[in-house]
Amino acid sequence: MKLIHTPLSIRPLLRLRAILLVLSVGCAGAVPAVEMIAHADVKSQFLTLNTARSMFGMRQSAWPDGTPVRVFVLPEHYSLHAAFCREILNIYPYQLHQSWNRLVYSGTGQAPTEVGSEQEMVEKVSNTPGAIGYVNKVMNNDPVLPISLR
Amino acid sequence: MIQFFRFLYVSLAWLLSGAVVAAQLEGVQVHAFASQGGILTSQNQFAGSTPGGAGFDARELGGNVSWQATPDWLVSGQLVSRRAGAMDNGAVRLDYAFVDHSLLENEQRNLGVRVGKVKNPYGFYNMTRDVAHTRAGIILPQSIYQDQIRNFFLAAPGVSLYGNEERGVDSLSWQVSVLHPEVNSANLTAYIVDPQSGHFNGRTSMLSQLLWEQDGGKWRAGLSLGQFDVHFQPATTDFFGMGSFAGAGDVKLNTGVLSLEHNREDWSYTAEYASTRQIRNNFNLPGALAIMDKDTTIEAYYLQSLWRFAPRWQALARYDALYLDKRDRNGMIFSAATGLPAAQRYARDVTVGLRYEPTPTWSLFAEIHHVNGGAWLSKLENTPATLTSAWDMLLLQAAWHF
Repeated sequence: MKLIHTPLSIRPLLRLRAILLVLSVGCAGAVPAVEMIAHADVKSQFLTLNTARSMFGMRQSAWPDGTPVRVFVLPEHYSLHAAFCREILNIYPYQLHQSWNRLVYSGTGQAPTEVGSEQEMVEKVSNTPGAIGYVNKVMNNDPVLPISLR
Repeated sequence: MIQFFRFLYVSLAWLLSGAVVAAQLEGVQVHAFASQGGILTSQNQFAGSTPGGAGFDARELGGNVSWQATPDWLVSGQLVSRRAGAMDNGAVRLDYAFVDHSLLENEQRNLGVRVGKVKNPYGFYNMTRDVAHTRAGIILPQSIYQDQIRNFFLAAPGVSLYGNEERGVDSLSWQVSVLHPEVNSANLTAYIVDPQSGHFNGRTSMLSQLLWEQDGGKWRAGLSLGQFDVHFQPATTDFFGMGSFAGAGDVKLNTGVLSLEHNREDWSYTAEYASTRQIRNNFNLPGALAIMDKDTTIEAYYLQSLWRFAPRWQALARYDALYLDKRDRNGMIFSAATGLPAAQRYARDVTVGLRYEPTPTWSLFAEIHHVNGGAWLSKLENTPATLTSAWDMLLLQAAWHF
């Protein structure tokens, strides 16, 4: 019978676990939502997962109409960047960076352009023809095209 | 040291001119990398270490410029200087320089051609092996990526056809190259014919690679196949001054690597297996020396695990094995015939390492190797007769890139 009683000594641990659980749920809720955006003149409102991976992996250099793709990303340590890799591209951030390094240092491709903030992301994407990037949430007055996966 | 400053000057001038051009030209990018290592070996020598002592003669510097002129045209070039004891003297060399033209590109596939000095796709790591950030540890598994013959294997002038095929969430990429290996290096001479005087000439060779990536790279598998042909012309007087080689000879290396990788959030597991058939013709070495001239199959493989146990931290564990003659793995037949240590013919290396990235551009590495055998040690640094079988190595490295 003793075995089914929770020993007093571990009760604080259980309380700690409960607190951690609440905190982790809170954190999960805090994972930023993320949306893909493109320059307003881009004609493809939907992309397949593979095309999105090819574009952000710097393997596809043009849109179907021939406009050069210009990729904008946030720095590696930004939580929005990690969320974009996981939620939209369904790959790990380290894999994306490894694939850029393989292209850049073998001469077979180029790296994306890094921007310092979400605000700069919206500015660059809205001002650069063929641009693609991502934000937490597209605002109604943002002069960009939201892109969805199909 | 003079060469180091000369390289620094050349690369700075190059980067500055690149930056000036970049300011004017759309689609130009400039990148660079540098690393400095410290190596301590218990016995034997590696990249400038002395037996029982430390060496700081391991350094890599490089810079590249690329220009995406249009979505169909890419021009890129990279200069590298590498210092590694007696294996590499830090001289600046052209690492690659080529024009890439995309012939076809749509959502399902692309096809293109590269002309110039192109990096050789061989296994997972060969194309970017000089850039510390792209390696799993300080040195690559030496069984497959031997540093003593790296310059021969790294890149070569030629033509490459490449393509990519998207299937669902998977992708299949391939490259076929016809190339002319750059083979006239002291390292290759020491590796293939011992330090004889003479020179190598490359003959037209082939290299191809097929790479499959499942669901964005959760699984990656590759097959690299190559046939390298080189011709050796001995000098009229060789190393011993008496003409050990009766005549000129050809060496054909038929090589293949099978690669497999599984990537998870915190773990990556990698395994590669390489087999290289070395076919020698016309050397006609007399008597006991004939064993140094026989066709052999070189076998190499490694198993590697990376653990990203905390943000910015990564741990490495690896087992790496190399046998210069698959039919004489312990080197006893070779040793009995030549009187040289059997350890020259095999190497089994157990490695553990740590990597810390204080910033996205800097990495600090530390790793320990416990090695049995010296098959991947350079004969330019180690006299074969004095090779010690069991030895340990500690490596430290700081690396930067942008």
